[in-house]
Amino acid sequence: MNGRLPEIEALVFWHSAKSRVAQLGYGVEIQCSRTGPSIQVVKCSDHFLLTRFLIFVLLILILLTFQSVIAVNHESPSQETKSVAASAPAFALKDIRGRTARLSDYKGKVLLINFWATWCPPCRAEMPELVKLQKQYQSGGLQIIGITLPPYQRSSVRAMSRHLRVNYPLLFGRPSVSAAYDVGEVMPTTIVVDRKGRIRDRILGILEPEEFDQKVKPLL
Amino acid sequence: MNRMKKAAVALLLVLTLASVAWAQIKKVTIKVDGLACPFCAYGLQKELKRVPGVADAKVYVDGGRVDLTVKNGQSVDFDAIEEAVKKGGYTPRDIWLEATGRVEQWNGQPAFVISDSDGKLLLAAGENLSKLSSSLADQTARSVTIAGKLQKQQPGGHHGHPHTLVIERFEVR
Repeated sequence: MNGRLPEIEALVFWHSAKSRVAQLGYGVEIQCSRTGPSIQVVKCSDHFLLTRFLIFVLLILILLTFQSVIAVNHESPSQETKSVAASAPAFALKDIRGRTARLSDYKGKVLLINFWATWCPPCRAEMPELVKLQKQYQSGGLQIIGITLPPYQRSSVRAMSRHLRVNYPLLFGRPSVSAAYDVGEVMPTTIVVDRKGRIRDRILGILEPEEFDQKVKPLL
Repeated sequence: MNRMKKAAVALLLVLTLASVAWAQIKKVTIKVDGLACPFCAYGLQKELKRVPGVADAKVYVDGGRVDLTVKNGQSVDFDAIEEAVKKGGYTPRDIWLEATGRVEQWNGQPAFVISDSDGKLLLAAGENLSKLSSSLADQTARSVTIAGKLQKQQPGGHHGHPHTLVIERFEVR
């Protein structure tokens, strides 16, 4: 090993999470993980080549470190969403009678927040079942809330409410609310909220009886 | 070592061939009315995957159709499939099927018995049935692959009574 290598070793050590310095001078192996790059040394006989190779490796490490920082930053929004999702985001939306309904109005109840749309056939097909569930479990503390996803015509929502004799509040949704609840590209989506206002589950598609039994009944 | 490798390859080959042989219903396609919203497709897919025997359901919004994969060695109840489509909020139309089985008589009518399952379909009279009968001659035990369209149950028909299959093409082995 020549005299220039220790400097490089120090840099390599700085990049590595493990104490591999003792093994340096015999070759190089790169490993990159989400926690950052690390270097392991294997056999190499030509010190000149090794030095050049180490410089090359260091350049790659700098690039990979930069990418790791970008990746971590990119992940931040979803982690933030998850922490927001722990407690149900507050909302204030108009219902079909023009009154403002707030999440806090239903404090202490088990909520099924059903995101639906008038133009979504499975959502319409699901509603009669939701009406039955509301009727059957209302006394047990269940409250279903329907939030309509845009685009919608208020008259169509009102007509549907009358036609299906909907017995739970139907609120006119806003994109900000569905985004806050992380409602993706599946409709209907139903969010299960416990009595303490925490999001406990997310049901994609039509709520099936066994899903209600498994995910909602234990909370009542 | 080489012998072990050969044995492993042979085992893999046998398993692959066996899985192909068990897949007696090759394809089920349902034409569905009202499939226009990609976000709603999951709801229909979820309902169809609950039907016993259905392994997977792929919804094609553009084509207005759903392709079902049936579990190996199982048949599906086509009434249950129609019910699932209705429960998903859509209107089922035609159902196409491609399956392997054999032809036998059922209550004096030609019927298609899907291999390795209890699936049975009556065969609709027509030119293709005549051709199939000629091809089979007296060898009804021969394996035949039929692709065709299911006819709707007649009003007042019994639930569980075999559906009728209109043969569109067939292949006798």
